[in-house]
Amino acid sequence: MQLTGPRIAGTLGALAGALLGAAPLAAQTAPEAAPQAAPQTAPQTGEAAPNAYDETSSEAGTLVADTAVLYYQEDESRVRVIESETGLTWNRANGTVISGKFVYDSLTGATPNGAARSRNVVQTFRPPTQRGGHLPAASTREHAGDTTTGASGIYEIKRGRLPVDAGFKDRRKAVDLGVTVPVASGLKLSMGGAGSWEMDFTSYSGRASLAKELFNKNTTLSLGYNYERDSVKPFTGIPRALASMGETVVGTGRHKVVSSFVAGLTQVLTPGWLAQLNWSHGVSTGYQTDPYKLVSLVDSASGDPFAYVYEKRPDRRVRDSIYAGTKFALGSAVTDASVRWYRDSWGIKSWTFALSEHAPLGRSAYVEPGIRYYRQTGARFFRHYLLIDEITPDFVSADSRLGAFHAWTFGIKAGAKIAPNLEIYGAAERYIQEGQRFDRTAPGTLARTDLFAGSKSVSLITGLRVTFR
Amino acid sequence: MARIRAGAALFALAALSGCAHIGAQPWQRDVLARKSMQLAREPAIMAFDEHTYFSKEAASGGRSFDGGGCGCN
Repeated sequence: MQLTGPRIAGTLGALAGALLGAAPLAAQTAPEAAPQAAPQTAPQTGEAAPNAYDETSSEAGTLVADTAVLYYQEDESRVRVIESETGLTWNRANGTVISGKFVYDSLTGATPNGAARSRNVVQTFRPPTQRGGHLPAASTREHAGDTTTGASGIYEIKRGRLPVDAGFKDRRKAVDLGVTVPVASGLKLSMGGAGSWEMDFTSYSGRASLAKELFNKNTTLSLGYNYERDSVKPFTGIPRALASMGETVVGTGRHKVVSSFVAGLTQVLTPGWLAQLNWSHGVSTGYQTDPYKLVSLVDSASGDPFAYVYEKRPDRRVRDSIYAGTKFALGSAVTDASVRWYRDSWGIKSWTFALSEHAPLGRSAYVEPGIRYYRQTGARFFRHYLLIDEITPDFVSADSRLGAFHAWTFGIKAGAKIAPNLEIYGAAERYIQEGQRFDRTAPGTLARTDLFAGSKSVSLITGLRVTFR
Repeated sequence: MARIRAGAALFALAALSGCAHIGAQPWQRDVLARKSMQLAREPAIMAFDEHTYFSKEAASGGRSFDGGGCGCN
């Protein structure tokens, strides 16, 4: 049911993009954003390739419709996402590529609210008071399961349970339009724009990038810029940072601006080996606090929760990352390996390693098992809890995504060409976050309480691609 | 010292001559042109994965821009 709308809208979006001469680039990983190390004029051997995925990728003069669905479910009935993506890409014979993409996702479930577990106390959470002294209506937040609630949105968490806001519910619609144009010999210009709408969040972005092929097309240099403006309008209003839960809100919405640069080098090393090196630099300014996240204030002797305050993050974040990836062919098999180094001005450093092996299966299919390892250090202002008698820090967050942890992904992808113009593909992945669970220096029973709130999830993806020539 | 310099010069020469063989000639591009060798093989799977990682981890970007376009982080 959810797919019907997106499909139509995606088609309309792509058509509008084509008519307006507007530009896409899939929001994060547009196909045309990646420099094409391999030219589209590869010679055909005249012999049938041993496997369908050994065929040339040349798509000049085609219209490609691609639709895929993601089912994502976290363990312990936490967040569930169903996301559909429908895209149309028109590869013109002159090298111009016009594409449009429509994404729809629906998100439900329970998300940790930042407060620490308590072994001794039933914890009660109440949303901020609206200006004028009224509690907000429950709006789209509903509470069930391990929590109880009234129409006011107040909910309780049982002893020993991870405090989660069980009423987490949102829908997102996103559109992305892009165009890549050959502007001179070996030089391509890509431009695009994207919009994303959630019930409490809106984002608009525009981008432009240049890619230049050099040395017999063995080297591609690229440079890109993306500007994004986000608006957040929490259901509960903007709470006063570091103020107690339930206090009067200080506004209805806030903004954030993100500027990102990417400089890339793609190099063909041998006829069956290529490598990519990217440097990304991003600066975010504005409201980056999560308006729904709390930090527990605990008693310095017993470790029991005394109150909850809203988190506060710095208004500026500078990110840098270096990504290196390589693809190596051996017969019809292709090994894909990558590494990413990341650091930001909040004190988070991370490494990501990924390895996958594309293996042909019969004449028309492939399987690709893969593994990914990620680890990050915590932000300087990350704290599992604050002591009631300590001086309140300038910034604090207990959001597990800003704490130290590592994560594994085990996955398998597969695809099959089931007709000359029809391809099906899919993936199944298991994602596991692990981190330090106990803080032996914590007071009282908190030292024996599991403080880690990382997630584990399963992702299932299926997609269909039709090529019209 | 002279030996080190000579060694360094030899190494540089070897590296330069190696450079001459880096890459592929236009008639050697059939493997690079394969679908399986494209950098963004399955863009939809890649986009879903990036979205998941963006909403669950602090780091982002690398392959492309590090923005997100969603309120999930």
